[in-house]
Amino acid sequence: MSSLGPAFLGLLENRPQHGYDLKHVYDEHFATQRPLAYGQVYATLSRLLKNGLVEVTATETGGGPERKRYAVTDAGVTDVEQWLGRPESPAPYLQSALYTKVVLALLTGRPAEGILDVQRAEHLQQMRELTRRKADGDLGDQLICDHALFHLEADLRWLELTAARLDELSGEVRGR
Amino acid sequence: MIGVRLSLTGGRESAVRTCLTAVGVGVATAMLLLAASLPTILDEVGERSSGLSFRQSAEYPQPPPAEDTVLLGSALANADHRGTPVTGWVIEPEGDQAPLPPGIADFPEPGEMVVSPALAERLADPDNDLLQRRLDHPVVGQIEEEGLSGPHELVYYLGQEGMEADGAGTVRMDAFGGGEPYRPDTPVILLLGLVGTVVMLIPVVVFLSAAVRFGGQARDRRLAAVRLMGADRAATRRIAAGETVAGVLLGMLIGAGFFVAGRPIVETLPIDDGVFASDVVPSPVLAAGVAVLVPLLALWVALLAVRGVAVEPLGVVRRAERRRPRLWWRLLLPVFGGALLYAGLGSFLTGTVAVNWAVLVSVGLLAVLLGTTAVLPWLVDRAVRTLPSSPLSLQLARRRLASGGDRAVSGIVVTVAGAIALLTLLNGAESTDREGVPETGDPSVGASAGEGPYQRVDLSKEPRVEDPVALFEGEPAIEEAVAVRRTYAMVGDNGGVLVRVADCASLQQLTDLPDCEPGDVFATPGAEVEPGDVAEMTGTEPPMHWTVPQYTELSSGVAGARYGEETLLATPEAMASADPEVVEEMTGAVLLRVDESAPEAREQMLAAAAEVDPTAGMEPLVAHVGSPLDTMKLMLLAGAIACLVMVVAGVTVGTVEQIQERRRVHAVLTAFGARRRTLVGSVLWQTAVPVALGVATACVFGLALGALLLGATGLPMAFDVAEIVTIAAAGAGAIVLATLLTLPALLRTMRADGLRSE
Amino acid sequence: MTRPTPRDRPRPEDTDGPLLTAYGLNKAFGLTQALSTASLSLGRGEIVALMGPSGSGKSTFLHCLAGVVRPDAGRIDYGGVDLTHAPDPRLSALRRTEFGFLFQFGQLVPELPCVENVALPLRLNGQRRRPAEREATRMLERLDVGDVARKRPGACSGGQGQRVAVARALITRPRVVFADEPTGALDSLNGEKVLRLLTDTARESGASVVLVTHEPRVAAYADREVIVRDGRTLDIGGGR
Repeated sequence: MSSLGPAFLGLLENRPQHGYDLKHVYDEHFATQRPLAYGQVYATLSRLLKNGLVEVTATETGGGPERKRYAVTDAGVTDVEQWLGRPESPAPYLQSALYTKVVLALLTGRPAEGILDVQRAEHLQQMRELTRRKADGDLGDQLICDHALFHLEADLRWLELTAARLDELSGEVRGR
Repeated sequence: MIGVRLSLTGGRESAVRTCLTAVGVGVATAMLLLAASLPTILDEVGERSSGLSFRQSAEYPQPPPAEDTVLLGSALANADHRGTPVTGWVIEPEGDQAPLPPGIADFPEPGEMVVSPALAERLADPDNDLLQRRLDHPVVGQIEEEGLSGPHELVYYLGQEGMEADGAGTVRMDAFGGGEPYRPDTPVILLLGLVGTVVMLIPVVVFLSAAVRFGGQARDRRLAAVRLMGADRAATRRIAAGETVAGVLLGMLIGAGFFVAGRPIVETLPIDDGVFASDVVPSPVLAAGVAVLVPLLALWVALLAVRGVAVEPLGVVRRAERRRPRLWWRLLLPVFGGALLYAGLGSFLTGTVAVNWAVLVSVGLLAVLLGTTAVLPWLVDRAVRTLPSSPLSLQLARRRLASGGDRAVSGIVVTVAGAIALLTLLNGAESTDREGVPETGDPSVGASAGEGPYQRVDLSKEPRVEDPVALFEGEPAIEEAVAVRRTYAMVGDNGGVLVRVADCASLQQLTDLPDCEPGDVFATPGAEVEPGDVAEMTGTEPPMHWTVPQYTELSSGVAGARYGEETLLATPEAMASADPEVVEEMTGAVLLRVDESAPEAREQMLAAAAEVDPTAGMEPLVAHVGSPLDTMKLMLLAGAIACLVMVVAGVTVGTVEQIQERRRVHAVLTAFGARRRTLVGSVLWQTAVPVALGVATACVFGLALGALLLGATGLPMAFDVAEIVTIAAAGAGAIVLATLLTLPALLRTMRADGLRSE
Repeated sequence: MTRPTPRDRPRPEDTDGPLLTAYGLNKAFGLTQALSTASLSLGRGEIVALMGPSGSGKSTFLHCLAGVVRPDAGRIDYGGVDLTHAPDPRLSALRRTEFGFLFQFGQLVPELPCVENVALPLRLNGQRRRPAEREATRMLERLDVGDVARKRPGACSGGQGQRVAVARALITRPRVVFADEPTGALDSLNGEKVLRLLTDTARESGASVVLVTHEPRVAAYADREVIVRDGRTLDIGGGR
């Protein structure tokens, strides 16, 4: 996950933290589906350490495993700022699988409308769940759910448009 | 221009709107043109009547008989037909070059007649058999327009022979015309005319501005859109002006058309003698004024209406809370107007015409009447605050009233207030008319009680029938006829007495005589001649002298004599002392007692009189010949009705538009389950409240204005409650009618179609 | 939930099965066939989204369901009452007492202050002004727009105005709320607030909602969706 490094840097900007705490804070704010693996946390931290973006401010050894406290460096702050300021390259997000299904259905003379309707029902089912979760969650949850909802809606809009254009599309596909 | 194009090509709806505006402006323009024709009409009527006032223009002393002279006398003077005066002339040319009266192609041969078209029409009506009997002469021609003062005038020329000029009943003329033009110079009549014109024109202007605003709300939205698209204020105004111009120009063309087409209608109006269509020509100056003012007024109204849009494009969409109307400046207007009126009328009365009183009075009237409409919003605002909020329909109406004035009612208020003021002035004028003229009254003073008054037929020459008394008494409605001779006996320079001569039996019919022998003379109380006075008899040729003999003074008056008309009653034998022939020389008269309750009594009398002597004169005048004030009342009524009709038209169109605007709100309320009666009720309340207040205001202001006019002109206060109530009710009824006319449109908006998005 | 308003008519609770069912509705406006064989079954407390492209007939369907428009054919049953044949006064009374309405725009009476707008349905039911407006004020406060109670709709923001409209739709504690693109004129945030208020209040009071929308995010507030296409209904969206 390419945004994991900058996310850690940003979280460390508030205060130096142990890797363990960092994981929990991250999970709280960003992990929607499943929590981070500890391995992934420490791999990322060591990469940042190697690049000089974080430094170890203290090492505690107690009864358990060794615990390092990480802090962000000036270079690290600069890196976060650069990352935030850089636009994400807008990947042409095509529902490739769905698109393939639709075109295939048309090519083989199957009803594409049905595919769309089924897909819409599926999408809406998921959107309903997100809406429900949003109602119960805190602000972070709401933001995440909204993000997902808008994406799903975008999908659905595409579906609606496609449904509206099916006639047009079928003519084109057959003509090819 | 975008505006013109928008108004003409903006689809069916905008075409309809432009047409409505055009028709509205057309009606108003036609009315204004008619008003602009008033001076011409008055001039023309005056001009014509000057040529027709023969008696006035007859030269004195009379020219000698010649080839170019004509003899003219009146026939059946003071006659009428069912209340309309009938003017009759007998005419005889004295040579080949005799001048023809205006409007006549040829002299009628003796016994033939030339009649006016209106009289010809009446003669042709089989119901008028008594009139046919009265004018039983072959009609050989019609009198043309230039010989008539109006299309309804009843006049005829009867050919005659052997006429003699006496300088009084019969005149010799060598030319017609040249008289003074008739001018309605009674100040009160002038004032009435002025007030009437102003009062009638204000609703026209109100209607005109309403017509310009037809479709205003849709246009506001369109202009707001144009403004949002980037048009600046000036451009927005230009477009608004352009949109208006198309409708207004079209309207003025239509107005001119209406005017031309409507002129023949003017001819049918039963005002006095009527007005010839050809006289209805706008005075050039006033017509130019109309042509300039109508578009200017329309533009002004249009620009005023888009002011909000021009300043803030979203002003239409989002209306700010309205400021509450304030009273003080609204009262300034009527107070100012009242002051002007008083000033104007003061100079009008005292005759110090330093300023044009007509201008002062007109401006004052305008200020008072417009001030009435200015006070109304304040009143409505006040009332709305005190009204209860139940039922719901009243609450809806209240809120709606509080958020905007109702211009529609203003037209009604002005009309009603003006009409009431005018009526009050008329009533005041009428009451002086009645009081001012001395009692022409009781022709039967002193006659035995219970007997009807005598009518008199003066014969100008010897009767054509052997026994006129028997002829008159043959008419069913004539109860009694007495033939007398009459003359005026002058004593000294200005004294004198009327002398009636008849045999004892006839004299006994006229009054109670102690007893009568041939040669007796009797006198009514107060006769200012003494026995022995030498009197000069008038009406005889040459004048004869008569020494008043010893007479018996009576205790009572004489039937058929006017109040204060002292009379000598003489037997023919008593007159013989002057000249044996004197009685024959004296004018004959027949005194008639008529059963007034009998239908056609007067017609029978006139027919019989014409049979006895076509040139006889009737005395007294018929009682109910229309006075100019009656005519003005009629005109006022007609004008008020026309104004109200215009207002109803304007209000209906405006309200239907408002209802269209509120289609969505109504549809939503319907969805919420609002009952029809709630919504209809709210619209009715919304109308009823301002109308009730408006009519009340109009009554107060109208009465105050009328009282002010009466007070300023020194006329007695006279209010006719019934008439005021009638006018107020007509105004209220007009609005109710307009509201009812809009109900179908309202009910249409209460369907769910309004819910479908725009 | 118990309803404080006493009523003398049999309530829909008295019968079993769905609250509102429509079967085989047809409706034509002139030559345009707006609905053909549209059907729906609405359960108690259920929120159903009617989805479909513009002109698909979903608004007409809503108007028919609410007894505002009479369908040409078909049958609508609300708690045992046949809305397709009920006389107009009966339908009006039903709309006043059992239904609430929410539209996209232009629904508030512009001359009435917000509180009077909200009290309007109560007043239409014959309630007196003061108690009606007290109740309306409470409702406005509950929806967080108590401060605009005395203002006119023209002086409110779009979001405030729509919340006032929600208050008006719910003031009579209707059994069914009919909402036609209620957030169509609002931005996402205000739209969400209005939808939350609408659905939360409806769920609290056990009211059903018929929600016409073309936005999936709005439809996601419903329990299930019904697709309207060319005047036909496709009931494939599964609820829980």
